[in-house]
Amino acid sequence: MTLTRETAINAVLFVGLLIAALIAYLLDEPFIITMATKVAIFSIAGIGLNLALGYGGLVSFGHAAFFGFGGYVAGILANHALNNTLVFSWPIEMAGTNSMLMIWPVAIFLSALVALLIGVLSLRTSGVYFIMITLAFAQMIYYFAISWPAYGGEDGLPTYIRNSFPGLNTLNPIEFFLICFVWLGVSLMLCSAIVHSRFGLALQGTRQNEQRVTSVGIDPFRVKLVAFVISGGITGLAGTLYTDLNRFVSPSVFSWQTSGEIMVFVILGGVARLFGPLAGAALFITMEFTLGGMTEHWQLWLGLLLLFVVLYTPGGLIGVLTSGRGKDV
Amino acid sequence: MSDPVLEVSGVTKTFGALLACNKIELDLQPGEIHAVIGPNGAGKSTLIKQIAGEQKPDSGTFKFAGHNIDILSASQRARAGLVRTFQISSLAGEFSALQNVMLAVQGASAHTFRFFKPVQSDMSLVEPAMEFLKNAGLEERAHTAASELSHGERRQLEIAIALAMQPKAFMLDEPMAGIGPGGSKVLTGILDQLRQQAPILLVEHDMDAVFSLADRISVLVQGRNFATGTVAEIRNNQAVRDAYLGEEVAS
Repeated sequence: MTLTRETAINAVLFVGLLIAALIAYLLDEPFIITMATKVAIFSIAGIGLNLALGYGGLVSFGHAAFFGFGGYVAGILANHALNNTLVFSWPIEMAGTNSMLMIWPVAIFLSALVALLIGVLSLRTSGVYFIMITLAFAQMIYYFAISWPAYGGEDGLPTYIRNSFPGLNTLNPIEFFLICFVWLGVSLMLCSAIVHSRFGLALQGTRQNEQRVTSVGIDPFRVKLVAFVISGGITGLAGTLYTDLNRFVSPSVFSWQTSGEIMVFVILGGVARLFGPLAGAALFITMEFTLGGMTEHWQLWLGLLLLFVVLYTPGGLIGVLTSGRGKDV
Repeated sequence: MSDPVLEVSGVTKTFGALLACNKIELDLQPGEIHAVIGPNGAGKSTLIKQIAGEQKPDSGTFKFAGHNIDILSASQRARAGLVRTFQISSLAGEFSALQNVMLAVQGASAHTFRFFKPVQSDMSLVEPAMEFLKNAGLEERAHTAASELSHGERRQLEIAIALAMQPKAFMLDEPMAGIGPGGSKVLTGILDQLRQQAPILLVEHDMDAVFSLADRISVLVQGRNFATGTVAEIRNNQAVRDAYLGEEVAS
C-alpha cells in the first residue's frame, strides 16, 4: 500500500513540475519557467548523487567536480565554436561545437571518466575519509579552474547563446525546459532500472554489509566504482544543462557549496528514494524563491529545516509524505 | 588419502616483528570436518583470513580443488566455491531473507554487472533462492527483513546462503561466538546440514564442541602447526596437552 502511495506521490511531483512550467508558459512568466528548469536540472544532479550516496552509501562531498566538469565541457566546446577555434589539434583536430547532441555524450563521458579516476583513488577509503578525499579532489579542480586563464579563470566563461538542438529554439524558455524535463525523466528511469537490477541488489548489499557481499563472491570495490562512475556521469549531464540555462559557467560550479547543495537536495527529499532529489530540489528552489524574497538570510531557515529533516525524518520529504514507511527497494 | 580439497603449504605471515603464521601446513579432505584450535594469538584468524583472500601471506601457497588460488581475490575465491560463513552479523539486515539468498545465487552465477532487468522478476535468481529457503525451512519468512528474523531463523538463513554458493568447501570462523551457552547442540545441527554438501574447516574455541564434532584436529601454537591428527591422537598427545590443552581434557 505504501508502495502505491509513494508511486502516486512521485507521479504528482513529476507531472506537477511539468504543469507548473506549462501554466507559467500560458501566463507568460518566463522567470517561473526558469525556476522549473532549475528544479529539473538540480534533480538530475541529485539523482546522480543519490545513486552513490543513497543506494551505495558513498557519501561523496565532491560531486561538484562532476557537475562542474559537465558544465565546463559545454562552456568550452561552445566557446570554441563561437570563436571558430580548435579545442586541441593533437593527436587529432577537435573543433568546438554548439550542438547539444554532440556536447551531451562528450560531457557525460568525460564526467564519468573523472569519476573513474577520483573513484579509483578515493573508494579505497570509507566513512569520514571518503567524504574528505572527495571534497579534496573537487577543491583541487576548483582552484585549478580559478587559476587557469584560458577559459576565463575566476571570471568564468560566457557562452552568449544556448547550444542548439535540432528543431527546437533552445533560447525559448519552455522549449529548453522541455529538454531538461525529458532528461529528468530519462535519469529517473535509468536510476530506477539500475536500483532494481542485479547490479542494484549488489550495490545495496554492499552498502549494508561489504563483508557479506565479498563472501558471496562479489567484489564490492568494483560495484562501488561502477556506481560512482554512473553517478558522476549523470551529475555531469546536469552540469551541462546548467551551463546552457545560464549561458555562462564559472568556477563556482566546482565549489564545495555546489557539492553541499546537491547533497541537500538528496537529504531534503529523502535518501535512497527514487524521486527524493526531485522533491528536495523543488523544495529548495521554492524556499529560495519565497523566503529569499522576504529575507536575505533565507538559508538560515533552510538550515533549520535540514536539521529537522536529518533528526526526525530520515526518509526526507518523500518519507514524511509516505508516513516514513515502506522503502521501495 | 584422496586429493585434498584445500591445501595450505608453507604459509608464513608476519606483522612487523610478530610472526603470526610460521610455515603452516594443513589440508582439508573431502567429507571431513577439520578443526583448527589454539590459544589466543596462535594465528588461527590470520590463517583463515589468508585462506579467504583477505590478507596476503608473505610466502606459501594455497591450492583449492586442484588449482593454485594465490592470485585470486577474496570475492573470486568465494565464487570458486570456497565459502566463508557464520561470521558475526554477516547478513544484509535491510534485505529480506529472499534478497539475501538471491544475492548469493547472483554472486555464484558471476553475473552482477547487469543494469536493466529487474531482479524481482528474474526467475533465474528468484526460483533457486526460493528453493534454498524452502530447504532451510524459511519459505514463510521469505519477505521478512533479515534484521527481524529470530536468532534461529538467521542461522537457517546463513545455511541457505552458504548452500546457495555452490560450495566446494566451507570455512567457519568461531561460529559459536554468536550463539551463546548450550551452543554445541546448535553447532552440531549446523555442521550436519553443511557437511552433506562439502567439507568444513572449523576454527573454534569451544573444546567440547570441537572434540565431539571434528574428524581431525590441527593445533596451532605461536603460529606453528604444532600437531595434526584424529581426535584421539590429539587428546592423547602429551606435547599438545602440555602446550595448550592442559587440564581441559585431562579429566
